[in-house]
Amino acid sequence: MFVSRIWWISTIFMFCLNRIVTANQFIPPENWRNIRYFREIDVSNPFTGESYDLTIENISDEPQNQYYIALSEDVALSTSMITAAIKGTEKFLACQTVATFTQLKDGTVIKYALLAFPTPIQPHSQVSIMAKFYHTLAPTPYPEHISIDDIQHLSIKENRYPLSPYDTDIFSLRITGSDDFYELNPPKDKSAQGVLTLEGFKFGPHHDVESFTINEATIVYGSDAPVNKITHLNRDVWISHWANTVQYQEYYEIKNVGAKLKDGFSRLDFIRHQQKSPSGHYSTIFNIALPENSTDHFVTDKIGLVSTHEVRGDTLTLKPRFPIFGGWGYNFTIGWTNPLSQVLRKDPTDDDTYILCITSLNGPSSATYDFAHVTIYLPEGVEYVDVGTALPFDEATVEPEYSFFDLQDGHQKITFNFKNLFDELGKGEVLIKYKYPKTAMYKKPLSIACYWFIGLLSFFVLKNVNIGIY
Amino acid sequence: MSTAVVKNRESSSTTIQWVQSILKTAIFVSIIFASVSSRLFAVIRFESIIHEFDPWFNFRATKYLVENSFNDFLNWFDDRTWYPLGRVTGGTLYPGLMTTSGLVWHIFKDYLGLPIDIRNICVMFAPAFSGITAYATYKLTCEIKDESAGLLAAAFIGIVPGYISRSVAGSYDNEAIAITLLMVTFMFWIKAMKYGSILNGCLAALFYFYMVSAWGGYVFITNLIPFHVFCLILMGRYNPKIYVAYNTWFVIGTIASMQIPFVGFLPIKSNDHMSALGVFGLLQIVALGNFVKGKVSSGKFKIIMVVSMITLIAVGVLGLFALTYMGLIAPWTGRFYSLWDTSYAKIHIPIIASVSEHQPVTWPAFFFDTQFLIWLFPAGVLLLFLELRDEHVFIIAYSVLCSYFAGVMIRLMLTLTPVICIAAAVALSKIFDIYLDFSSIFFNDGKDKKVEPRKKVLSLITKLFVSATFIFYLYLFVYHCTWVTQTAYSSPSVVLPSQGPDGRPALIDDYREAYYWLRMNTKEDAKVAAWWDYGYQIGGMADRTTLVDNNTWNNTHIALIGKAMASPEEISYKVLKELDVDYVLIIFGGVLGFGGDDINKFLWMIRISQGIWPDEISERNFFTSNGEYKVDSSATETMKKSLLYKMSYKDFPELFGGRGEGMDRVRHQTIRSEDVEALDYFEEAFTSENWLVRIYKLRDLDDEGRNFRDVGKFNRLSEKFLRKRSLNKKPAIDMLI
Amino acid sequence: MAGPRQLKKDSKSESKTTTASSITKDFAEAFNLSIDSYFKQVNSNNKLKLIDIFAFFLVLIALIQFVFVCLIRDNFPFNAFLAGFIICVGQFILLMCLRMQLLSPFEGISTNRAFGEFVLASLLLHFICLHFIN
Repeated sequence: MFVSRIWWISTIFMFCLNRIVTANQFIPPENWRNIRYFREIDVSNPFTGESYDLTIENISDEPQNQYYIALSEDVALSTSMITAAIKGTEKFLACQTVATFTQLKDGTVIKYALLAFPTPIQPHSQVSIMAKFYHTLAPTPYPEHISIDDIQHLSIKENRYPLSPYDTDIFSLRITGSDDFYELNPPKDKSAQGVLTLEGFKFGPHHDVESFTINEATIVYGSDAPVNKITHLNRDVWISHWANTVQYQEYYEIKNVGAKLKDGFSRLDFIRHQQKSPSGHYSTIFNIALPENSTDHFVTDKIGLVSTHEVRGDTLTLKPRFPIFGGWGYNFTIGWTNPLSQVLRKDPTDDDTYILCITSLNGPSSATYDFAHVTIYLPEGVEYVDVGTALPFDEATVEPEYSFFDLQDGHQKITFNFKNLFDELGKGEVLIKYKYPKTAMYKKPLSIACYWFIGLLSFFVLKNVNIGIY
Repeated sequence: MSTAVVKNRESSSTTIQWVQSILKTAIFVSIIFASVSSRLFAVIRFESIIHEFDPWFNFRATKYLVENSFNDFLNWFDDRTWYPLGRVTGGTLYPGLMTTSGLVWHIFKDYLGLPIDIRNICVMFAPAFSGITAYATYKLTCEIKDESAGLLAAAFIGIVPGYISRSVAGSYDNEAIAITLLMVTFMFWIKAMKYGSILNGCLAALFYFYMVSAWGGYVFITNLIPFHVFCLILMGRYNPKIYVAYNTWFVIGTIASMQIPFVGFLPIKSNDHMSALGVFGLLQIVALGNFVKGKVSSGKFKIIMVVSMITLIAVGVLGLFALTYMGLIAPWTGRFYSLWDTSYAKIHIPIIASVSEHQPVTWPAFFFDTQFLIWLFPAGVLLLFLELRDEHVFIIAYSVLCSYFAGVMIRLMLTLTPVICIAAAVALSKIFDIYLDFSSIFFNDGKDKKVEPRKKVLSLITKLFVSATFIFYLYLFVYHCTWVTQTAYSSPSVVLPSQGPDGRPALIDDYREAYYWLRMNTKEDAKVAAWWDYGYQIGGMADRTTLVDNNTWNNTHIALIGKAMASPEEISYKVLKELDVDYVLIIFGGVLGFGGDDINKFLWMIRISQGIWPDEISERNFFTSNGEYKVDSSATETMKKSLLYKMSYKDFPELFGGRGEGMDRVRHQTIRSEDVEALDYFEEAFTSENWLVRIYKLRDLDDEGRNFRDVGKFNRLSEKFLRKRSLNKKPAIDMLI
Repeated sequence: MAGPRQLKKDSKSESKTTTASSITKDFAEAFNLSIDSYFKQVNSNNKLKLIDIFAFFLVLIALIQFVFVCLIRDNFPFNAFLAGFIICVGQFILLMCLRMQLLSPFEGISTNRAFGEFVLASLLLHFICLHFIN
């Protein structure tokens, strides 16, 4: 304890020094105390879901409404979503990650998620909150190279103590989602080690832990499913009032970040493995749920059609050109068409105003997304009014895009850039309100007809001009 | 009264003209529709994809052009091919095709508001140009005979398989545009020499320039037109019109053709172009002579002519020899020699002989590619002989020259096809002129009232019979063309059609599977060694650096790959490491029964490398003592030790269950697992679903500096030991697998 | 038109002795005759005179270029030399073509049209040569 005190003081000292050098060194004011800090991590999905069950007390003398949850740097960078509510009520806290960080003495960077209470908490009163936190930081395979018949093991790094800028009275950590856990290089101290129980892999409970106590554990668990990461998604949605359709075209760059093959890929071994069990730590198919009543499906990649796809009902099953083992990547483009009436409503107050409602994602199940660019192409002559999204976006841009027969201003192209998504978040919708007057609608075919007419006329005139010299 | 009649007639003739022009337009629209749509089989049955080998390079070059500026394209140094030499691509290609499609792409995108994908433009390029070819052929044939022959010729060229073979959708090759340009150039040439117009001569020269920029076969025009003029002079048919037409064409065409970087100064240096220069000189002399002839008596002129001719020819031939000797004029190239002596290539240049397009044509191929046109063709030529106008001489010269060349090299069938169409159209339209003309039967102009009804009926029957026969032939022709097009020429050869287990049509997509694997899962700068046939495809689809490709300009480099394939592992590894290779790609058809695989091409690899390293590689060692080419247990040691053999059959016998015996479905020989030695220096990196493409990785150097052979031996020994132990424990475990 | 008639008489009287000397004689005679008729032709038509002077001038330039290249014994910017030389030859040839058409117009192509085409072709030739010179 004493040692950690010294360390703590030195941190503050360093913090003071650093404050001169880097202005954004930041330590949350020690206004809170964690009475109870229960953390649970679910690793059954390619994304990681954490739930926090906290009871906290305001130990300052003033009412407080800002509570910080500390996150390690790489987790913070791949945060996809954080929600929190006061336990037992419907009172939600405003949650966001903040750019400020603390650099500890050993160089570790701690970042924060800021939870803001709807009403300030009075001094020396306690409150219980439930927080859900999702991030898309992929686990690392351990060992990195395995053979096709081996079971894949993945590893994550977690602090065996609470990572918090506040002191904690009681803490426990539980990891679920697999039935095969063990700790890599466990410490000699038995009490610090994780224990495999029926409810998962448990650390703690630990009592009276100082703030910023860091002791990292590497937890390995068996997971024989591919770890699919979509490093890039370009989702283009084309709205056509004339054809009364909405056309989707999505470009995926997908990578399996799981364990790599030990001695290269042997087709013979693969065939034998497939005969034994149809699944393993590689992907042979992707299932993509499409909106209802979709038509005109296609799947291509950069060298042509991928003929090994099938549409059954509302699911598109794609078999990529080759099985995707750890370290391998693939990219493909899929597309389909839906009737426009499924996603478009007329504004009841204004005849020329429409409201468009598009789901954010339709991608393969159990995958995470590093970057997703959702682009909506409104018809030429549209005036966009407003946008709204269920998911927070990084950036949104409106640009013109010249496509087929766009001879005036081009399509209105609205792009939303999302980061760190996962499949289940895809249901969140993107709303766009725009104005499309009837005149603009009829302007386009008329102008095309005009160009045709001018073209033909000039051809006729040129043909009749006599250029011969006699 | 009379003026009214004249007016009436005029108005009726104008209406007839109107009807005619509408009919003509309708016929043309349907011809173009037929010629484009019959080329779309490949797109409909497969997809919009670039075919075969060379088109992939053209496509890649076009993409480069579209993404960069035209100047960058001309100065393009491609370091991703012919590693480590690289290729000055901009200076060693014919840019016409890429420039045209790039231009079309820009026009569509910038001016018409149609941003079409460049791939679709490239795929639809050949069909679109076939429509223009049909029009040019029509115009050309109109000059030869008349409009009806022209329409027939246009219809023929539109659907004749000999031309479709190189111009289906996706076959984005130089020939696709070259035949169009050939016909346009010839059309303008005929017009120029018929009317003596400078303008048409210029146009012929411009299109000749276009042709030079598009296809190496431009030499054909360079020789055919002078040959035509030469024939005319010999026939005593010189006239100022020929002088005007030829000289305009030659002067402008020659200097224009020198603008193409790849051609450069060839037109004044290479022997292939000398005939044109010679005829140019000859024409000047003939023109002078003609001027003198007009002034001097014929007897004296003869003497003067003979004497000056002899001296001139002597000086010319001597000069030619002297210049060739001094090295100022390039000697004839290998491909040229193989044109005259069919066995030349086989003996001297195996790489030329190894290309299937350079093989002589078999007789059925003529019928297959042109059906009934092939026997109408001589008839047409004969009809032209009977009339023998100046332009007819051209067609006759064309047909004679090309018939010979097509007999030598199968790819020159392509240049023969247009003249077959023209000649056949002339013959057929002549037949129709006579036998479809029923006017004498139905309308009596009062001239021959004496004709008996019996005779009338007889002639009607003959006419009906003959024309019905030929219409039936035409029907058969259309049927045949469609059939040939869809069965023989509409396969992209990148994707192979097959049938699934339930009998539904399925595709074998192994090439793209493996190429895409390369593209996605290897380092950006990985070097892939493969036999040169696949060079362009790897460059285009896998986007990786290749060592050799279909632009076979460096025989030694190709031989090096051949040597690596034919040598034992240790030597191959050394050769490939020196070339900085990361992956080796081979094609293996044994599982699928695909005949065009590398084991079947192996003999060419051996022959080519034997030409360079006769003491290291010997073709004899790959044949059994009976002189058979065997891959089963009776194969020679050299064969079994060769890299290609080991790579092809690795794991192959085990695929067919535990017996360790596999039947090679191409060579119908049984491969036993004892015959296939393990690979120590290479590791299997990828094998496609049907084993068609196998990719191997060169192992990195061993950590302990051991030799791979020893490492492999050690590993196998320890594995055997382990297995023995496990067998002792659980004897059934291997049987289950 | 007196020339050819005279010539016929001459040829009859000399036709029996066709020796080497007579051949040179024939040559000389034919040469003289052609020159005569040429000058007659040219003098009667100013356009032809102009064309021929131009043509002669072109031949001269071509010769000068050729001699120059021979003298310096180096044809380094070979394309420049070729362009210069070929443009002379080409223009000469085009002039000859025009000349022929002026002398006896081809059917379907009037002299004016021929001149127009000549101008077009010359422009084309010059454009290509300029491009070739760099």
